[in-house]
Amino acid sequence: MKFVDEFRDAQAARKYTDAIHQLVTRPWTIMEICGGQTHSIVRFGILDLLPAGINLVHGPGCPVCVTPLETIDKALAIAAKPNVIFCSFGDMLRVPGSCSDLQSIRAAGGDVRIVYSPLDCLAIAQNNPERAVVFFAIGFETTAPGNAMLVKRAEQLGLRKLFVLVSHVLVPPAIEAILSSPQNKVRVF
Amino acid sequence: MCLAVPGEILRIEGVLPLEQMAQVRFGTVEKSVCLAFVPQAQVGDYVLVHAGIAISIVQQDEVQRIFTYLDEIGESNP
Repeated sequence: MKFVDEFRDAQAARKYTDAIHQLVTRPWTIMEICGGQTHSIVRFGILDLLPAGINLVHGPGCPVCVTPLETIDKALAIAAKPNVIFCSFGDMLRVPGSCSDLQSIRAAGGDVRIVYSPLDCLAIAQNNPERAVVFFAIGFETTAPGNAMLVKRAEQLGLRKLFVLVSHVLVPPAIEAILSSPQNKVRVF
Repeated sequence: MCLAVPGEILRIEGVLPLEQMAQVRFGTVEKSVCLAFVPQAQVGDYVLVHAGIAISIVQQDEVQRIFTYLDEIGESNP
């Protein structure tokens, strides 16, 4: 069964922690940037098996986690409008705004659609020329170019009712801010 | 949305660089993927795909290493 078996895969977790024990010669405070890394570390029980002196600090997470509240509120207001098709990565649907979330907007009748890729919005816009299609363009450096490609392709295809609500963020400035803090104890990312 | 996954290019469709799409195989799953950022990619190459867009070509030895790790943690077949 997905996840249950992996939770019990002590052999895989032990293999990784044994390798870590062999490498560690001094204390380290390490920040994982990505929530996916945190998820894997916790899921395999590695957190409790790390050598003494290895201190993991959970970092900023993913673009979903760090999207500002006011941007999510904007998304909710747009998604609730009639005649709007609001497209988003699935992860965003449960992220709470001030008083609702996209999933609730959808349950209340809003046309909120999950897309796997920003480019999925092209077909949605082509198939619904009378409606405004809005893509929630969140992302770090890896995702932003794809979101930009959506805009480029929409321009080429003449899709004048395709819009983006942009919330891109950069990772290096966040790392620099942490490293420049006098109280910083993180030595590795 | 954060994860990028390597997959093998099975077919390439489209001629103009910005419009090139590929059928890419991830384990037993096939998806249509945008090749605009890796116009040099060929059929048989492995590409790292993020949110439906190939963001880099992965070298063969690196692919083997990634799949070995994924096999170990039971994630090679999404």
